[in-house]
Amino acid sequence: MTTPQELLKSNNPFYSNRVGNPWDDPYPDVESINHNAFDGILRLLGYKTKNPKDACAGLVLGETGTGKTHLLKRILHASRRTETPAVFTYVRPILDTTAPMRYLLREIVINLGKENDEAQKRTQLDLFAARILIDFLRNDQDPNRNAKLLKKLDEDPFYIYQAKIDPKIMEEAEKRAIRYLRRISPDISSDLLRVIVKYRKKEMRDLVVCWMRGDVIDGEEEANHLGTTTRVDKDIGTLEQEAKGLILSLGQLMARYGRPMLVCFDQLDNLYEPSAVRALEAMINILVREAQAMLPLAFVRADSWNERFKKTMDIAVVECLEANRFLLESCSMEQAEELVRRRVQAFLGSQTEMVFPWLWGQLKDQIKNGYFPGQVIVLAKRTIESEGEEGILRKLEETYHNECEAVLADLASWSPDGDRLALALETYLQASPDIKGLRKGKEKHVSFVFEAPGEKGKDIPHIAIVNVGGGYHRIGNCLKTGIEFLQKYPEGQGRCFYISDARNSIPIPPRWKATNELRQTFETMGGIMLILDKDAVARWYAITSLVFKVNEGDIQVEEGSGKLRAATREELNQMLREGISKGSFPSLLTAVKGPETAKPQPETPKRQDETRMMASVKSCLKDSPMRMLTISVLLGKLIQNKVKLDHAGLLAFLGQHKNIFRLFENKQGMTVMLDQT
Amino acid sequence: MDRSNIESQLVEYLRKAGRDFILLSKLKQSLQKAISNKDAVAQIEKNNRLSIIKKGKSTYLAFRQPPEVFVFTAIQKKPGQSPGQIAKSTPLKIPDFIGAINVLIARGDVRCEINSKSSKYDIKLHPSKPSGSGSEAREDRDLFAKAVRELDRGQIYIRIHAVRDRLGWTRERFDRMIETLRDEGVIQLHAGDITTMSKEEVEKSFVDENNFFFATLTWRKP
Repeated sequence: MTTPQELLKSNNPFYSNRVGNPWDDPYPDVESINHNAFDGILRLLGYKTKNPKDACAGLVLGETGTGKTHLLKRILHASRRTETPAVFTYVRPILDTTAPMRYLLREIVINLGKENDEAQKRTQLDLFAARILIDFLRNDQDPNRNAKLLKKLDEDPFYIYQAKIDPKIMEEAEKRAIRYLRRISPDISSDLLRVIVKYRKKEMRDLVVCWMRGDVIDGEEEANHLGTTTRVDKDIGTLEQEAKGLILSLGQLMARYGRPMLVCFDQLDNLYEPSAVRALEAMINILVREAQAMLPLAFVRADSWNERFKKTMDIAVVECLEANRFLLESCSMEQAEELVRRRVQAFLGSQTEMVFPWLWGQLKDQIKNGYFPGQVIVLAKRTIESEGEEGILRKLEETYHNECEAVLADLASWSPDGDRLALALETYLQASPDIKGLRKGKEKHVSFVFEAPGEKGKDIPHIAIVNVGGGYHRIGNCLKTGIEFLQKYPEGQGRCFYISDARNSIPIPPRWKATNELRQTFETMGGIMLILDKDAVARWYAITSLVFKVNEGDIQVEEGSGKLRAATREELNQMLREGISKGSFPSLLTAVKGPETAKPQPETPKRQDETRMMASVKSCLKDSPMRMLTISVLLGKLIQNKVKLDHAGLLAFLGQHKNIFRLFENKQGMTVMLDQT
Repeated sequence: MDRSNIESQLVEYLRKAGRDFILLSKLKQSLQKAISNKDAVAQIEKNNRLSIIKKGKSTYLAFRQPPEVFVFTAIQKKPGQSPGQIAKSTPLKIPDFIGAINVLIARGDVRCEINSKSSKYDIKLHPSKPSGSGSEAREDRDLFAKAVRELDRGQIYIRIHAVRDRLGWTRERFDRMIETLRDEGVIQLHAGDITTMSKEEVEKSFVDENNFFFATLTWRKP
């Protein structure tokens, strides 16, 4: 007979104590933990809803394992409820500190584009596009004309997407709605209004999001569709100003529709440089002092706040954040018990009563007064595994592979980002034993300069140009820089990489004729185009994610003595170095060519196949013990059932149905479970 | 070999041996060949965590810590010994040793007992009873609270190493107080951010029974 310990060991619910992203945190929450902080944040949000112009901000102080992610997830869920409607934005650490407004805008728009309603698959952008039209209809000169429609829209604003309204009438209504809003709020960007209403058209969505993020638009034709300019000729200063204007305009819309935005800045321990702290300051300042209906909330370790941020930041920003300070609390014995029970329940369902009494019996005397949730989880894991030392390098390697799969399951959150690709490349190059003299490029467009063995084994100069988007003008200039370098070091005397994300790359000919000619010249001269497809992109972004987590102290292991400690940057480098030397870590600089289309779509199943796909996945999971399988085993079973799908496509499919499937880390790799709750 | 590496190896060696100090001449036999006496002495002169102490003809490598800690550790290891016997178990010169004994007695960490079976009024030294009850415990608690208050300049989160430094207690006495106050819910312990701390500060923080590391504390109850 299987003992409780063996059962728990076979599927340890406490395997991971990692802090994830609140959008995809798969673990159950105990609402009473940190309820003071949660209630305080909701009160602050309520105040901001009623007083959108008042300057306020919040600071949440809590160490690793205090339940920050669960608190964020709880806030996210609360923001979806009708009694406290709000827009939730989760901002990751800034890397390019020269353009804080563009970065903030991009993070806001990425979150606006996330599904806010899993059942209806609607995003916040859907809601704003709908509300603008409803706003107009409600304030039309003859409201009786729209009475019936308005009644239905009161019940469900998204009805505007289903109603069979003549497209010409809709377009006219859109134009009049924009004129109406501009009349009553002249400061709102007319470009933004023109673009946002187009979001209701499915074929325009990617382009709308791209423009709203502040990106350069790929061509004149696309810009004409949106009714805007391409931004190709705009300098950084102008783009920053434009981004700031768009943030302020979004704030005005949010204030008008009584839906404030909670902007949560997390993983702030990654902001080492004073310039990064300054950039954070600039972002918080605009949200507090200039934008309406936007409430910044900084999540940071108390010690880092006192020792690093408070000493560097402007006193006005410090005072503003500290005016609403929330301290995360430890859990009581009852909360610890509930935490353990719910985690077991989520993984073992009906077998909970068989294993929980044993586990709690082992645990309760070990838990000390004042322990945080993370410590309870570590103790539970330790009790189940009852084994000593964990290899830190193995843990980092496992986390890296899990991060790859997590990125693939939620590729939309990892929109093309040159700074994150550059950080991944720098981390990789620093760990590569053959690389010498690595430094940032002084020349424009050159990300890194280094020396590495050429074809004859002798060290030769290398440059890497990391560029994501920026339009044909910028891409052309990047390629010209590469060509000039290759002219200086012809016939294999030097090597140049041009690195980009396939989702934001050069369109195939005949479009962008001049840029495509430059590309051809570059490749003929020996230049290497690394256009990262989705698998490659996942590998790169997983390194960035790993760096963030290591800096935050989120990857922890037990040493031989049982002492828990966080992995260091040196150990991350060592893991990569050993992997590169042994060949077990795939090279980032292996030439991969993205699909020859401008914007490849993920290979998700077509709608007609989706029902079949859903049935197949559910069937495989129902037939498995505890209704769970690792991704690779599930893929194997689906292929046996003749379902055509690749690894990335499966993860994307599962990521789109988080209300049905739960993705979590396990010793065997990323695992999916059919939700039993 | 760089300085920090030598330092780490020496600290590790002392820790493993369960010693506060060691005769320098024994180092060569015990440690890897990579570290010679000459290397060690040269580097340790400017070291924060270790020091060189000369006592008569002997030279010791020792943790850089208050003299009271050497004496208290020796008394704890062998309670009931005379001051002369204890003095031989420390690397301290006689004036430093006597000064440390007097501080420990005045603070109540050590008590004296006159041997009733001897006609020479021999004195034996014992560690005081653990704090946790009576006036000593209350006094310790007050001292601890005072130290935290003095360090709290609106920061709320107080570094444990700073409290430890301010009190200058033995490790056992300080850790016992932390555990007591934690169990009673008077203080809340936090992991803190070791990237903003020196190695010495990390070592002076607190590790509990489950091997969880804590660098800061907050005061929960008045």
